[in-house]
Amino acid sequence: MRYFIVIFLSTFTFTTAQTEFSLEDFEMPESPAFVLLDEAPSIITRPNSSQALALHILQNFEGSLFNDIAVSFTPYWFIKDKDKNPLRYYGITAEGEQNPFSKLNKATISAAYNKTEDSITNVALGARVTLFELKRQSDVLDLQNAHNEAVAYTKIVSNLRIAFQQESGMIPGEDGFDEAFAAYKTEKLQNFERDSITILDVLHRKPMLAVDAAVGYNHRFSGDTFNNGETARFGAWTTAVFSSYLNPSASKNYLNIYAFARYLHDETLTSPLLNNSEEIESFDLGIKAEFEFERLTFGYEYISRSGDGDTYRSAGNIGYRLSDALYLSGTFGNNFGETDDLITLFGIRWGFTTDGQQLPLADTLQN
Amino acid sequence: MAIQTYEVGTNSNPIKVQVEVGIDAIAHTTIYNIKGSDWNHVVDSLDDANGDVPLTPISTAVDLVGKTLYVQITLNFENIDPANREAALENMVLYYTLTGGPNGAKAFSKVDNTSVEDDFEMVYLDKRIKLI
Repeated sequence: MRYFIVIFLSTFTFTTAQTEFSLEDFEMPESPAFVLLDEAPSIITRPNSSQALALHILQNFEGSLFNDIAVSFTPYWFIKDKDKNPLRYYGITAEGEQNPFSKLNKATISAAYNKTEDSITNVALGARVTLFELKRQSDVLDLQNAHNEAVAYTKIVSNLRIAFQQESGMIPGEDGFDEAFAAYKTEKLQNFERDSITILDVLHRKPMLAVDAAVGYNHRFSGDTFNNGETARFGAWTTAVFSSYLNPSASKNYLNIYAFARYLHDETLTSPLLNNSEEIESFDLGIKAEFEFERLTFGYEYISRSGDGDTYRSAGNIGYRLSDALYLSGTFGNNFGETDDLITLFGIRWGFTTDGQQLPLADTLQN
Repeated sequence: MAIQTYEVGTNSNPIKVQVEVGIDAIAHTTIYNIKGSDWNHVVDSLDDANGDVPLTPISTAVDLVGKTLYVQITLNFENIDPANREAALENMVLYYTLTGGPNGAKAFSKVDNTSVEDDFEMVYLDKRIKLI
């Protein structure tokens, strides 16, 4: 039996600019590197959002600190592109037509470090991309409306700032300008009401259908010796998910049905059909059903493994968001293999907010 | 940072401005030419929310000489997850281009001022170019 505490330290941006982070719309750590190492709470999963840079730490109660660490980043957020614009980012046109392939350029790359109790050090690299995503037409319509409303609001604020400069004679950048304009804006907009559905509300809704692909490679070292390094695992897998609202009026409640297929080349396992030192080629096929409510998520996954050794994984997952900064999860079931195959994972995820208003990017843009 | 300049000359050639913005945030650009307390609106970006201003005549060189061109870009980040806003801003593409002067086109990419609201939802980029 293994107990894990999962610390999810998110949003480690390169600077300390003010970044409010909420776990409300983010899922458990699911980096391909962790999935390949079988360290993720659930094998069959797909995130609905990607972060520019994130750090995941899993901590075994019985081991020392920082035995399991993964970092992931999404290069898209660090690429300059003159053609970036909001509609292209959403994957829709002004007329409401969808581009189901709009997330192909938002691949996430991850790397993981894991040290086992028997002094095996694993290093894994992984990548994941959404190949296809189809939104509901009602969500596209909501997205258009929320976007148009935000565009109109932006123009209002822009005009207010011009008016403030004309009335006050102050120039942006001079001492007190930002504070004075903030007060001016608050006064002018005190009776201005925005629509209740925001763009992020709609973007965080699960698409009706999505297909992800991922790949991972794991190299392991025994006895803390570099020369003992050897290939451990290579895997490539795809995950398809169909999401249906449980209640159309509560868009954060879903029934998610997953299908999963994975090819795995594994040099760490032994097959009853082969000598212990043989490499194992296996093919996994899995399904998962998951109920997702605003705070509570529970589901069941079953994965059948064929190839050089038939086995299966059968596990139930449950997650509960205690607050915007604290998330609990648990997994119980049978893992692949014949022995030591009981999964009992307990996870806690923390998120936190950083403060500080000095934005180094001002230097980036101004120098 | 000292205010940058663009030589427009003193003839009747049309001086034009173009702004190119590449970012996933909602962007609105507005341009004025200013002399003292006299503000003259030149052009706004189109309503497609990308902040781009196509090459647009401002006025003639002789009319503009001595004035300041002011470009205000308002970025609304409410469509981007808070965790990704800073990276999006750091990696935005921004070019201001002026044409029509005796030395031809000149592109500017640095802003004079960046103001970030407390919640990082609104960011303002200010650029002034002295027309000489």
